[in-house]
Amino acid sequence: MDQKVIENGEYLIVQKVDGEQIRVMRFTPKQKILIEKLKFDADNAFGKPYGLFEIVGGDCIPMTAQKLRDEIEEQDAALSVMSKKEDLTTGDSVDSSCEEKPSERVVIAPSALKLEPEQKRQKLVQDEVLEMKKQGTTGNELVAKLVEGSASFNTRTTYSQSKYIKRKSKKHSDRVLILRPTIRLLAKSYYMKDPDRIAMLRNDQLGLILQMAGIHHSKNVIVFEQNLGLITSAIIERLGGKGACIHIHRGAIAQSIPCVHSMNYDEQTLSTFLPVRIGCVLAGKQLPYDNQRKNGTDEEDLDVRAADVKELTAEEEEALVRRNDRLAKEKLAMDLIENGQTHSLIIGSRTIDPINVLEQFYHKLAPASTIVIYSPHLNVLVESYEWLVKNYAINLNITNQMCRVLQVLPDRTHPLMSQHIAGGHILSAIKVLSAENSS
Amino acid sequence: MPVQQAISVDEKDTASFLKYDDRIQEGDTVIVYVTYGQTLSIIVKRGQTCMMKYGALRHEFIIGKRYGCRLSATAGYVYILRPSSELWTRSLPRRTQILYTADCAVILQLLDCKPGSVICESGTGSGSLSHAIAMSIAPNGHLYTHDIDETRTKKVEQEFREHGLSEITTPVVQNVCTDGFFVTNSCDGVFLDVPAPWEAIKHAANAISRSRGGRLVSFSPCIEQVQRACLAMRKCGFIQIETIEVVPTTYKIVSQHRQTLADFEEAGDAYPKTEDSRRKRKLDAENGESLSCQAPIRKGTSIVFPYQQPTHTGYLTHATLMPETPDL
Repeated sequence: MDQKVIENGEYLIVQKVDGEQIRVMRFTPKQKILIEKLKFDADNAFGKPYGLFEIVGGDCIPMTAQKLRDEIEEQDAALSVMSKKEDLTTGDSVDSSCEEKPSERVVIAPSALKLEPEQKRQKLVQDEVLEMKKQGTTGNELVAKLVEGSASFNTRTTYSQSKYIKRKSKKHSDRVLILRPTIRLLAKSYYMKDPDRIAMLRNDQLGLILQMAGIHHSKNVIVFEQNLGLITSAIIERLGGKGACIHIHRGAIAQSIPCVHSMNYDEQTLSTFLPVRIGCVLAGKQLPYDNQRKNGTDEEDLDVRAADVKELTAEEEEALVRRNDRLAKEKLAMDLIENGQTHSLIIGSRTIDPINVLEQFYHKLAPASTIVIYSPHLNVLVESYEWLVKNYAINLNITNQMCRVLQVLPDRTHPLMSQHIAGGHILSAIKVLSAENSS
Repeated sequence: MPVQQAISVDEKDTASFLKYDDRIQEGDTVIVYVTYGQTLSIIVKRGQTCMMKYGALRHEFIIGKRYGCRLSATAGYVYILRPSSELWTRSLPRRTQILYTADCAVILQLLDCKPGSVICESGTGSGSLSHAIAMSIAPNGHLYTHDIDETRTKKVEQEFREHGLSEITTPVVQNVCTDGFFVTNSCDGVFLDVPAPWEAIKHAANAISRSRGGRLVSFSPCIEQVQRACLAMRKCGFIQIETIEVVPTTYKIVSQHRQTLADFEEAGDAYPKTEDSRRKRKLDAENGESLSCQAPIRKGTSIVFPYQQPTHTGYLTHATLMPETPDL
C-alpha cells in the first residue's frame, strides 16, 4: 500500500516554499541535497513522513499543518496590532470593515534613500547573516533581524513593507517540501526547467490529452511520445494496474522516459506498461532481441555466454528474466494491436510526423477509438487533420489554450506580469466505420 | 421479442461507461453523433425512437451494431459512439451551468485524480465534472458529490446507475458551506464550485485525510470570491496556493486561397468556384468540419473558429494540505 515515510533510493520532489524550482531527485545515503541555496543531507530525511520541513543546520525538522496555522494566526495578530497602532497615531478612526486589509501609509521614501545602495541601508552585514545561519537561526528570525537592521523599512508604505518581508522571506526561506512525485509536479518541474525537452507540454494540456483520449482504468492505449515519458507515465497512473499502455520506443529498451521511472510505481501499476520497439512495428512482427546500439553493456551477448558457461551468474540470470519479461510484454502488446483491441492512440510529437504514426496504427484501432495528437507546431496538425478526415474520422477538433497564473492579494490581484506561456496544440478525433463496413 | 431482456435493462447496473464491448447491447448508453455541434446521449431500448436533425432513428437498428458504425436515419446518417466523459459533457441533459472539458481536464490534474482516489465535490450540478472524476478514480476510489438541491442529486444518482458508476459514487444532499462534507478525515481531494467557497474551506480541510494530506481545488467565476477563498485557505493551513485561469481557443481547417498579383488583377478576391467545391462547402457548413479541396493552389491552414468563443469560465485556485504528523 501507500508508504508514508521517505525511503532510501526513492525519487522525490524537492521544492522550497514559494520557490521557483521544483526538482526531481533520487535520495541516496550521504547525498547532499541542494536547492536554491538551501543545503541538507538526504540521510536526515529518511524515515520521516513526506511533507514540509524546516532546515536547521543541515537537519530536516518536520513541520505540521497545525504549526503552520498557529504561525499564521500569530502573524495576523501582529499585523492587526501594527495597523491599529498606526491608525491611532495617524488619528484615523478604526473602521471595522477595513480590518482585513492593512491601511496604506502615504509616506514615500525620501529620494536620498533611494540613491544609496541597499547594503548601506542595512546595518546587518553579510558575514553576520552567514554566521547566524550557521548557528541555526530560522528563516523567520533572520528576516526579523533584517527588518530591524533596515534603515528604510520604517519609511516604506505598508505595501512596500510587506513586499520587503516577502522578498527577504523568500530569499532566506529555510522551508522545504519533500514530496512523493505526482504527474502534476513532474509536468511542472520539467516545464519550468527545460520546456523544449518535453515539447512545451504543460500540465493543463496533458490533462486535456488524457481527457480527450478518455483514459481510465482497464483501457488499452497506444502511445508514441517525445515528451520524456510524461504522457506515458500519466497513462500508466490512470490505468491503475489494469489495461495496457503500449509504449512505442526507439532502440532495444525504452529509454529517455525519466517521468516513468521517477514515479516509483509498484509492480502492479507498472504491469500495464508494455514497451514495443519501433523496429517490430516497422517489420510488422516481433523481432528477436538485438541490442546493437549499446555494445558491451549489460545484456549483450548473453546467449553466447550462456552457451559457453553452463552456470549463469545470478546477475545474468536476472537480466535474462528481465529480457524475457520484456519480450512477453511486447508480444502481448503486438497481439492487442493486431486483434483490434486498442481503443485509443495518443501521439506526443516533437520532431516526428504524426501521419507516419497514424499510418502504422490507425487502421488497427477498434472502431469508435479516440485519437489525440499533441504538437507544438500547428501546421503538422493541419496535415494530420486532413489525413484523418480522409480516413473516416469524425469529431475533429484542434485547440490550444492559454494558462496563466494570477497573483492574488487583497486589493492587488492581477495576472503575473510575465510567465511561461509556451505550449502546443491538440488535435482530437474519433475513428468511425465507413458506410460499407457499418452493416 | 425477448421479454427477459427488457426487464433486466431497468435493474442491472450496466458498466457501460467502463466496458469495451465490440457491439451495442440493449440497455447500453450510446452517443448518437449527428453533427459536431449535436450529439445525443441515449439508452438503447427496443421500441423507442431517437429524434434529431436528420429525422428519426429506431433503436432496433442500433442493437447488435458495432460501436463506431454509421447508420441511416430517415433524413441523413449518424454515427453511434461509445460514451466517454468528454462526450457525456457535451451531450448531457443540462440542468445547471456546467463545467466543460477544458476545465474538467485541468481539475482532474490539479486534484491528482487516479484510480483509488477518494474525492469530495460540491456542487453536483448536472454531473459533468462528477462523471469525469468518477471515471478517473474507478474502480476502487470513491466520489462523494454534494448539492443542496435534491432533484439534482437524484438525477445524477440515476445517471450513475445507468452508466455503471453507482458503486464508486455517493450523491449527498448537503450544504457544505454550513454543514460540511459527508465524510471527515478521509478524502484525498476536495473540489468546490460554490458561491461562497471561503465558508466551505474549513470543512474541506476537515474532510481531507489527516494522515495522507490532500488537495483542494476551488472554481470561482469572480476574482472577489478567489481573494476571500485564498485568505481562508491560508488560515486553514493550506500551502502552495496558486490561482490559474485556462482559456482555450479552437480552430478550424480551411483551404487557403493564395493568389498572385496577376490572379488578383484578373479576378479580384473571389474564390474560383467549381461545382465540386460548392457542394463540398455546403457539406462543410453542415458538419462544422471542413476538408481542403484537391486543387493544388489551395493549401490547408487553420483559422480561429468560431469567431466568438468563451474567454472566461472561472478561476481555479488549488492548494495542498499537508498530513498532520506528530512532532518528532
